Amino acid sequence: MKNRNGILVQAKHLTKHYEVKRWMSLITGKNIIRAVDGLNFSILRGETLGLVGESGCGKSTTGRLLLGLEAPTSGEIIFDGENILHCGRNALRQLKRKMQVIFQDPFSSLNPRMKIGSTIEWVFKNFDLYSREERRRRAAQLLEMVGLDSKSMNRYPHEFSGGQRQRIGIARALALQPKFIVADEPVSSLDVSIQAQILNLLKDLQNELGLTYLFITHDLRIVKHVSDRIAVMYLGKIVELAKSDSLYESPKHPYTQKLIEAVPFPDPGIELNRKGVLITGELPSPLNPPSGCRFRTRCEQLDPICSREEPLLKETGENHFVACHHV
Amino acid sequence: MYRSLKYFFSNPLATIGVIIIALFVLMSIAPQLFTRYDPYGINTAERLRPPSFKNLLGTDEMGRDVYSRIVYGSRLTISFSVSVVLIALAIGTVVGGISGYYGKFVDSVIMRSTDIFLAFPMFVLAMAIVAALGRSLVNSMLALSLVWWAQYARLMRGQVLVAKQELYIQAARATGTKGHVILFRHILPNCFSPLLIKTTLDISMAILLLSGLSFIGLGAEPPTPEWGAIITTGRKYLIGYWWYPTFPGLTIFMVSIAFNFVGDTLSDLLDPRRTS
Repeated sequence: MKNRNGILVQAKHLTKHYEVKRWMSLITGKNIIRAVDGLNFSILRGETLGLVGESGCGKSTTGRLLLGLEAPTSGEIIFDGENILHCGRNALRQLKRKMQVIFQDPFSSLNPRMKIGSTIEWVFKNFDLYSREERRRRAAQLLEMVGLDSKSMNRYPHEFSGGQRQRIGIARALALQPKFIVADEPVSSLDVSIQAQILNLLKDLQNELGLTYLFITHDLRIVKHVSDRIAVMYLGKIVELAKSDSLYESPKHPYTQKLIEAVPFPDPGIELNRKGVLITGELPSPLNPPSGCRFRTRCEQLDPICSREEPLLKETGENHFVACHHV
Repeated sequence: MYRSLKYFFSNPLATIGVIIIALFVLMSIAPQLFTRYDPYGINTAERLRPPSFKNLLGTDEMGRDVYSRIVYGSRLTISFSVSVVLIALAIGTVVGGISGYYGKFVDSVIMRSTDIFLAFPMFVLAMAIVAALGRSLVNSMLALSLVWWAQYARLMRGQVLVAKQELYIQAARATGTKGHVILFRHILPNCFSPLLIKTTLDISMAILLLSGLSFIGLGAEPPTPEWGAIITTGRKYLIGYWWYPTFPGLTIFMVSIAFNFVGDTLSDLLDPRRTS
């Protein structure tokens, strides 16, 4: 039953809890880290959804859940019309041909003892695709597609720079011709100039191959350029979801507003004179999130209702969702 | 590769170790190159002669040339100790790998089994097994392998547990790699160095244990020229005919320490913290 509308990936009440196992928990009660708590969103075909938030807010976990690398505690994930949680192990493996991932660390995401050509060829081998010569040819083709010389197929990862290794990671992600790619902070560990190259490469590939991206990052400067829509996460919940331009022009959630204000402006003349309304306080422990609205401990617009009731994601304006009592 | 070799051979002890090992391996393959005497050749007229130009290391109580017996004995000692360690390595790696990778119930069961084997001192357990199976060289080999695999299983499992967390393993899983492929193609090659080091050092230990078993009468039977067996019979001749047990003993020491040097330098070489 293929989905006829444009939604490729949909998450419904997606929840992932990790249990902190301690012998004390027999006495003090279980300690649960609510990494992802009741997420609801969809990603349309061909679009790039940016997922931003602080470290530890659950964005990487969300990516892993969507890919099926981890099983959610509850909730559903619907990919291309099929609920992936109802899939058996074999079906799940086959699903991997449609969705792939680009990892954050280009240094440890490649097997240091495998030639990069082999790394890509193995992806084909996993699904018994093509003959040996054909695999080699396609691997070479993929490397060329990401801007690397196909002759470098016989080299080892440590012979490449960070940016090149990330390109290899992208080539590997493209090997199975997926429709959906989760890019988990793909440029965070690269130099700024290389970041631009990789982002442009991702954009070109998207146009050429009709890919759908989930772009996970904590860097607000780049997510605007790559995303069509952006979801802002805080402590396992989405607090705002809107089109990129709308988000930057009129951020509605206090957290989003503070985040955008915190982004440095490249001109020191202007930057130094800006009134900085910096965000205060620290991220609460995910073991014990604040009751009601999770952001209330760092918010200035505090009301009694904020500690009582948890705000739900509501639509305010065209395709702009916010989870706040004051909107 | 070239740089590794350079580092290795810049260490005098390792170099000596390699030379000694090479010498003895050659001895075990082609003993005829080293001596023309028959190690079993009894010649009672020449019994218990001290070292001379005719018998480089003297003769034993049957008139056999001690040097030749050592040369022919190298074949036994080296092949059996290497086999013991390789068998232990093979079993231990597979078992430890499965245990570490698949975890949970399988892991618990396997770990409890290794607990049982590791609870006994190696030599004592080997003695018990050989005594039960009957005295022979093959049985000693079997006994030692049975005793040794548990150590490799533990080591491998530890390595696997660490390697499992590496990002490229997650990437392998994300690209659809099957479990056993991940284990043997991705994890195992990266766990290789500690296993290799342990293997070299264990060969050194195996030589001692094998000779030890023969010494107490549970390994090779006379007249087999296994070094430990020679010392068993030679013991009573220590006073007065010192050359008889001394030279086999020195040989055991020499080969054992040669493997030790090599293993030690290998461990320095493969240590990722080494900067040069």
